[in-house]
Amino acid sequence: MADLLFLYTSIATLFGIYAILALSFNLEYGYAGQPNLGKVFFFSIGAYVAGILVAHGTAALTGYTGDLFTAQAANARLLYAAANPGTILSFFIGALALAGLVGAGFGVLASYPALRLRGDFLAIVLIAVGEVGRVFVRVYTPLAGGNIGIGGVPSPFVFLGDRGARVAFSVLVLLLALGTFLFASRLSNSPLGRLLKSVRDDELASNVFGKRTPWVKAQILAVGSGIAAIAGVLWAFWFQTVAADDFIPQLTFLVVAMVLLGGAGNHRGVLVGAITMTVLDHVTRPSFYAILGFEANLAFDINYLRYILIGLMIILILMFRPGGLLPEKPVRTPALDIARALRRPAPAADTLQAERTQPP
Amino acid sequence: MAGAAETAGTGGAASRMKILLAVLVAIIIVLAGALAYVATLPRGPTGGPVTYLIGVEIAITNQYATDGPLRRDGAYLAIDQMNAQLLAAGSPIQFQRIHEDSGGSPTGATNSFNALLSAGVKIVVGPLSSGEVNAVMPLANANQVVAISPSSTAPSLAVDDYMFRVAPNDAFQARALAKLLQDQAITKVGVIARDDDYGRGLANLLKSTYEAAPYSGQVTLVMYDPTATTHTTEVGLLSTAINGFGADAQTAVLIIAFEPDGVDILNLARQDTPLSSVRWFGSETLRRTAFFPPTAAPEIGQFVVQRNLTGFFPSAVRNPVVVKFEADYNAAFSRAPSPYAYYSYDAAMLLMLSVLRAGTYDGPAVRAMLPVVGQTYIGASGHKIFDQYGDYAAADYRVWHATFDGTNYAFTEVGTWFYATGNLVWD
Repeated sequence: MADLLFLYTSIATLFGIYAILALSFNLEYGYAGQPNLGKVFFFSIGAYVAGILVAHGTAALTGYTGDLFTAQAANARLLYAAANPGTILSFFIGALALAGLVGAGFGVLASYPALRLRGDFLAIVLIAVGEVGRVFVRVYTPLAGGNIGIGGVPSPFVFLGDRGARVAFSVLVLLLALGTFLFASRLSNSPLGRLLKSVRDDELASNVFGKRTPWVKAQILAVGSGIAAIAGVLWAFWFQTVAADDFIPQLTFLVVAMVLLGGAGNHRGVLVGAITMTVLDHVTRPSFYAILGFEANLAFDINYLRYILIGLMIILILMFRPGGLLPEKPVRTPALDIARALRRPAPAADTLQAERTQPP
Repeated sequence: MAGAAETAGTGGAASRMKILLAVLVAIIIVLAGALAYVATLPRGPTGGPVTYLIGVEIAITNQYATDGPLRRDGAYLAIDQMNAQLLAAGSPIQFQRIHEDSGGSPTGATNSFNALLSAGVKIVVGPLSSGEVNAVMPLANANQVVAISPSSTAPSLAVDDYMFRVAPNDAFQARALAKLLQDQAITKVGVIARDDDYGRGLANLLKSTYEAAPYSGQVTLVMYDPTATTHTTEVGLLSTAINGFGADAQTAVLIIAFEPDGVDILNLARQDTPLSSVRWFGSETLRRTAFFPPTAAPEIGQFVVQRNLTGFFPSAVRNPVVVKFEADYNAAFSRAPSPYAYYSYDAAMLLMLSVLRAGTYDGPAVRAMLPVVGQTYIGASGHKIFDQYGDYAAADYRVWHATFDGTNYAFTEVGTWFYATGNLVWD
C-alpha cells in the first residue's frame, strides 16, 4: 500500500532546500546582476562542512581510527547517532553556523573576479571555480572520502524514529526556507536592495553617485554564498550522504531554471519556480502513477517523458512569459506607495466623507 | 488624504496576497487529501489478482544512457516471464513493475528510492553503481526494503544489511586479471581508469595484487574524472607512462571505462604511437557492443581487434539456462543482452522467488528467504550463493577478446579463470 509520508516529506524538503538555494541566486543575479553560476560550489561547501564535521567529529568522540568512508563506518555513525541524539543535533546546529560563515568567506573570495569580469565571462569563471572545488574534493581522499564520499550522515532528529525524523526535518527545512524568504524580501526592499539593482542596471552610474560597487558585490556574494552553504547542510542531512558527483554544474542550472521560471528579481516568483519544478519532478515519476493506480507499461519508457515534459514546460513559459510566472516588480518604498496613491482616481464622495470623519 | 490612500493601496495589495495565499494553501490541502484517499482505494476486484510491486531502480540516462536500458530490460524479462508462469499455473499472484530512472547519481538514487517507498514497494532491483548503493543503503535498512544491485562491485560496501549484490566483488576480477597478465608475459602495465568507486577500486586492487609476489610487476595508474567529456590529458599521461616502460611486448594497457569515456579514450589512443603499439586489456565493462561499429567508429573497432583487447566477465560457462535467456531476450527486445542484463534478470528472479517462497510481501521475510533461494538458484549469470554480507560469494570469470571475422565484430570467449583454484584454463 502506498505510503504518502515519503512523497510529502520529499516534496516539502526538496522544495525548501531548492527555495533557499534559488533565493540566494536571486539575490545575486536577480537583484545584483552577478550571474553566480558557481552556485553549486558554495552549496557543496555546506554539504561538506556537515559531512566532515559528522564523520571526523564522531570518530574523534568515539576514538575510531579506521577508514571513515566505508559502509561499515557509515553504519557505525548511524548507530552512534541513535545512542547519542544530542551530539548529532549539536553537530547539525554547528554545521549550519559554520557552513554559513565558510560559505560567506568563499563568497567574498569569489567577488574578486567579479571586480574585473561581467556577464558571461564572470559566469564562466565561477563555473570553473565550482568544478575545481569538486575535482579537488573528489581527488583528495582524506578530507571527504574522495569519489566514494561520506555516507552515514544521520538525521538530527534521529530520536524521533525514522518517520518522525523525516517529518520534523521537513518542517524545519520549510521554516528555514520561510525565514530565508523573509530575510531576502527585507534585504531587497532596503536601501541596500535598491543599491543592488542600481549596480545591476548601470554600474557606472552607481559609481558616479559615489557608491562602492566592489564592496556591494562582495557583500551580496557573501550573503548569497552563505545562504547556499546553509542549504548544502540541509541537503547532506536529508540525503545522509555527501558525494562529489552530486555537485555538478547541472544542479546550478536547475536552480537557474527555477529562478527564470518563477521570475528573476521577484522572491515570490522564485518560490513559485521552486515549488513548480519540485512538484513536477515528483508527479511525473512512474511511482506516482502507481500510487494513483495506473500501471505505466507503455511502449516507451515513461521516465523519458518526464524529462521531455519538464523541458517543454520551461520552454513554453520562457517563450510566452519571458519575465517568468511572476515578473519583477519595482522595489517597495514609501515614495513608490505615495506615487501609486497619487495616480489612483479620486475616491468617491462617501469615501472622502469617511476620511474626513477620521481623527487626524 | 494621500496617507489614507497609501494605506488603502497597501492594505488592498496585502489582502489580495492573503486571499491568494489562502486559496493556494486550500488547493494544496485538497490535492494532498485527495491523493491520500486515492492511495487507500482497493485495487482490482475482491478475490481477484494479488499484485506485488517490484521496483526497478536502474539508471537509463547520463553515463548509463547506452547500457542502462539493456540492463533494465533484463529485469523486465524476468518479471514478464514470472507473471506468465504464475498465470499459467493458476496463481492469483502477479508482479507489477515500477521503473525509476536514478540518473546514476547518489542523490538521484535516493530520490528514486524515496519515490518507490511512497508507492509501497518492498523489493527493488537496483541501483546500479556502488555510489548509488552507498546512498540508498540507510533508506533500505530503515524501511526494511530488500534491494539487489545487479552491478555494484565495491568491496567497501560489504555489510550485513537489506542490500544484496549479485555481481561478484572486484577483488576476484583483480586476481583474475593479474593471472591473465602473467600468463601473457606482461610485466609492465599502464592502467587508465574512471576515478569513481568502481574504477579506482579495481585499479587499486590490481596494482596491489600485481606489484606483490608472485607477480612483482610494475603498475602505473592514470585516473580520469568520469564526468569529463574529453580525455586528452589523461591519454597523454598514459602514453608517457607506456613510453617510459619501453612500449615493448612486455608492456600493456588496462582500460577500466564505460561507453562514452571508453570510446573517447580508444579513439585518442589509436592515434598515439606508443599506445597503438602495445597490447590492450579491458575491464568487464569493455565487453559491450558500443565499442564496435556501427555504434563506434570503424577505426575504433579495428583498433581493439588489432590490439587484441582482452578481458574477463563474471559469467557462467554457456549452459541451457544462458542460451534460453539470450534467446528469450532477443525475442522480446530484438537485440542481444549486454553483460549486466544477465545480472538484472537474475536479481529480479531471485526477489520474486523469495517473495513466493516466503509466502508474504514483507521485507524482513524476503530478506531471510533470499540467501536460502540463492543456494539452489542457477540463473543466466550462474549460481547465486551469497556470503554473510548478502554479496555474491564467488564467481568464475570467462576470458573474452575482440575479434573480427571480416563481416562481424564479436567478443569471443576463449577461456575461464576459476576462483576456487586461481587457475586460468584456455578452452
